[in-house]
Amino acid sequence: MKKVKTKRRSWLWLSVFVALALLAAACGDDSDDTSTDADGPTTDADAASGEDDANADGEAENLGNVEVGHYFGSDLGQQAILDINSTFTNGSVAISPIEHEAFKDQILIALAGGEPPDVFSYWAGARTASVQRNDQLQPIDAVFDGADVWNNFPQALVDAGVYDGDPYLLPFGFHYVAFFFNPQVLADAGVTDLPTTYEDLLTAADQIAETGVKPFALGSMNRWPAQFWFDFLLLRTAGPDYRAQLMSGEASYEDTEVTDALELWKEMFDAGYFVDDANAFTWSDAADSVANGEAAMTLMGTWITGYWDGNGLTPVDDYDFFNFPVIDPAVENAALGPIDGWVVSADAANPEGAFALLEHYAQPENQLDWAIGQGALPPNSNADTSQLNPVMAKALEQVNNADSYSFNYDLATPPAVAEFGLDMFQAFMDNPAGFADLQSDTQAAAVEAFGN
Amino acid sequence: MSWSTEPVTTSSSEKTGGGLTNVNSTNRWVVIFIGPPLLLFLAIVAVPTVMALRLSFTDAHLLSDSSNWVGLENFRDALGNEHVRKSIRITLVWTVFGAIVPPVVGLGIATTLQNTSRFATFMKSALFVPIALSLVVVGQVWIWIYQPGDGLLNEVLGVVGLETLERAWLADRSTALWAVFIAWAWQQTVLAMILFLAGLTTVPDELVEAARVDGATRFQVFARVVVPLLRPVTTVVLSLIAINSLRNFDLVFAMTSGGPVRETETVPLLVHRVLFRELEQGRASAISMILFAMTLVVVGGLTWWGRRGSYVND
Amino acid sequence: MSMTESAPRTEPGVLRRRAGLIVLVIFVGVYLVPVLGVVLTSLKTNAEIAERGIWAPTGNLTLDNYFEVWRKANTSRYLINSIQVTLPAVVISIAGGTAIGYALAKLRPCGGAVIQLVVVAGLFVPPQVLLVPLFTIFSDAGLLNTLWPMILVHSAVGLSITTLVMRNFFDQIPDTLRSAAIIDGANEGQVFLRVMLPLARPALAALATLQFTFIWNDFLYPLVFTTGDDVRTVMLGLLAVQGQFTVAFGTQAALAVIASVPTVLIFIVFQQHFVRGLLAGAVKG
Repeated sequence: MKKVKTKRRSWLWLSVFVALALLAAACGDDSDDTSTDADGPTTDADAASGEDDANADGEAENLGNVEVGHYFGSDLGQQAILDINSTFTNGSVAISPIEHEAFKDQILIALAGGEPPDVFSYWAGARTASVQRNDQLQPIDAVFDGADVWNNFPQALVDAGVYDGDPYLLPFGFHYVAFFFNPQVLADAGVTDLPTTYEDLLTAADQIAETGVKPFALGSMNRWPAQFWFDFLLLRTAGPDYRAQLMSGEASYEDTEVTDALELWKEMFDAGYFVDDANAFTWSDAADSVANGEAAMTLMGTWITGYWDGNGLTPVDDYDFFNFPVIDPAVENAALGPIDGWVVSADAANPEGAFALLEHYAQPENQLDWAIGQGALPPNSNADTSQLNPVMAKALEQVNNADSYSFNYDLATPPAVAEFGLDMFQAFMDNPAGFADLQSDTQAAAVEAFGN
Repeated sequence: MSWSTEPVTTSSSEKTGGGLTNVNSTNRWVVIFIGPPLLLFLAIVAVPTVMALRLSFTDAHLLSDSSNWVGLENFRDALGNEHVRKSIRITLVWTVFGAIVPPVVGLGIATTLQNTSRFATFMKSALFVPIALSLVVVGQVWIWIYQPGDGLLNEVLGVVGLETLERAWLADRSTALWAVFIAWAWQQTVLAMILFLAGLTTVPDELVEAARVDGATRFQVFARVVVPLLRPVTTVVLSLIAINSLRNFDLVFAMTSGGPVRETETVPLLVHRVLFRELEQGRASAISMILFAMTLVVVGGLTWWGRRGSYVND
Repeated sequence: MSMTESAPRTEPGVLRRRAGLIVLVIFVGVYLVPVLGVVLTSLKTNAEIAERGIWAPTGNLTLDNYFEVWRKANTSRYLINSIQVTLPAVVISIAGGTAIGYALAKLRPCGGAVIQLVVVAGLFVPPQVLLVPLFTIFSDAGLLNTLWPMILVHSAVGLSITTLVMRNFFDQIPDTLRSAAIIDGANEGQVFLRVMLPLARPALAALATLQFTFIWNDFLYPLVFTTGDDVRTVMLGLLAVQGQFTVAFGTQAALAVIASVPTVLIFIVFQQHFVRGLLAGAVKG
């Protein structure tokens, strides 16, 4: 970084000089030369004064202040973080929450500007890989060794934290995507058995629609909530192996596998199962409409339970979930969801403090507190999961019973490709009729993005 | 704008003036007066503009240490890219309609208000309020107007029996751009109106009276006397609104962030995306240079048009 | 504006006035309803808004939203930041533009035309052009996440319009004023401060109104140059609050009103100056 900076700055001041010299030449008078001389030193001083800050290291015992940035929004989750930080004894924690959607851009701006927080929350998978590949993170061996993450976390979650052979991300909570529903609405519609096959799902949706309630709530204003539909329709028809190929650029968005999945999606859309104007709402709007009975269910991750708990809903009585039904029995049962974790920036001012804080975050009791507050599942196997509420306990069971666990779309494929895929889902929700065009557009964009 | 060149000619024609005291002392004062602010300007505006031009020929990336000279590749890529072309189209459409709707409506209102009573004078001050509002606030107001459920627009449509038109205006791909544009035109119309009101006061009453005495209808007077006299103000209005159209970022960012599906992604929003999401400084610079060129062409054209009729002013 | 008041009115004239009034009422409706709607929303409880909708003209007004947004969001910090950016930038841009404008108009240095061309050309540079390199420059200087980038950028960018306006203003001041003062023994600095500045007061007021409104309302630069909550200006804070209190429309409206009060007040007091500022470059007088 340093080298280029100097180069750029010298170039800048050179230009100032040239510009002034040009003006002076236009004059043919030496008074302007004095102006360059007089002003030159001032500007150099300006540039230099901003140069040297940072590098203020704390003492050995107290590791000083750790700056933490995160995207966790729910009230209960925010409180849980504060509680967990309050028991951190090796230093102080300055925490700045950033709204979830804004975070995605802001953290990149902070990294690019060389002003990132010491520690920030990030999504395991392709997003972490992309910043790690750009040398923006530092390995956290100290954390994985200190808290023995290697042995205390299940292998799949350890793997989610390791990039290019080194640990970079401490898993903090993992999630499970399923149909979260309002039990009262299902009961009113006479849906007594939860759907386990695709036919069951369609039958249930018809029953619900007859009562005048929309079966599926979806708020795709910020695009990503729509991805779970694509994820599951593809996973349940073509299977996780094909999906992995699509995510890595080895398969094409114009394949029949993708066409078939979109066709199923469109059939449900045409049947009127989805709420109107999905693109006008956020995921929490969709959660609200399920909670107040305007819609029956929404395909969403377990964090929705944290949101509902914060709004005073009771698990099982007010909300519950069922697994995305089987479409093709020959295809394995894959679970899906994101993993939230913590990473340490390469430019962290206080790496020692950051490692200590992450070790604190890795402790089973803290992982449990977080899981309960946010509505997540605790990665640390030693966390006392008997304290999870019944719905979350069931979610954990489902993940454990699943044949595999996949990241959702925008964490499974590189961000540059995901940009276009997410656009495709939103365009699909706007008008699914011409989805073949969407497929070819997305494929063209994906080829280009993978090419770079 | 018509401002930029005019004073320059004045200054060169009067080059000899002001030489009252000795030249050296005057030069010292020139340096004192001009030096510090000019240096600030060069450092923050002029030099970065040149740097941006240079960056646009490189593959600079915000997270990467080195960059290579790639010549015109960024420009070729940009102009060949469907998304970039779409953004340029959106911005041009916006600018064209921006140059029509707010000025026409603003002039119409200004003319209507010109001769009204004291009550109107009070109302006029109230009408000025929207121009003092930040685009972020304007955006919020209009988000609520377009709200799918209980938004003002849908409620009004319901009341007048046009329920079939109700929709999620900002989320619908076919209406989002126009919805944002109207919110923007809402504010820019006030700007145009204020300026035209000021311009109308400079139209001499005798000219209007004389035309009336000669038997011209009101409309004829308006079209043949008033409008030509307003040409200088019109140039200012059009230039201001054109510049505002071309660099429009705040409102779109606040209302739709460029969505749904990039349907409202103006060129400034695209630059923001390429720079801060894709982190490609080189490409972002190239696109910003295209925007700069568009600005120069549009404003240059308007200035030319304004000066063609400048005999009225001089 | 109402100078034709006394003219004798014919029947069609009265009709026309009526028509004018109707247009005016529609226009006022289109403009005042949304603005007052937000003010009203800020005075309603979030529960009531959720139940009856944002635009319902209901009673039960309360100031709770204002207290809430003051307590729960960093509102006072946002306001202080906005003031800390706006005031210095307004002062610097106007002082600088006045100095350049005066020197160009009255001292007429050689190269003045080039200087004016360069500075005024800044009006046409889109902010997006500047963002790309400035981000790197401020990052190198360690100034990101402080208020400095906004102060510097607004001070510098503002020079284009202030220079243009002040140059045109001083062009109209007769040279004899300056020569008379100099014969009386004043130096250039004294002429500028004691003779010229007092004369320029109306133009300065116009620019102050204009610049204050631009800078206070700006949103792009703080969005790009800051990430922390403590350095957010009020417009950025407004957007953050929209994300934080997603369905609490009353709370959002309260901050929107708070954020708009300074510019609206200044505008109501100085609106004539604002118009003159905008027109100053083109229509002389």
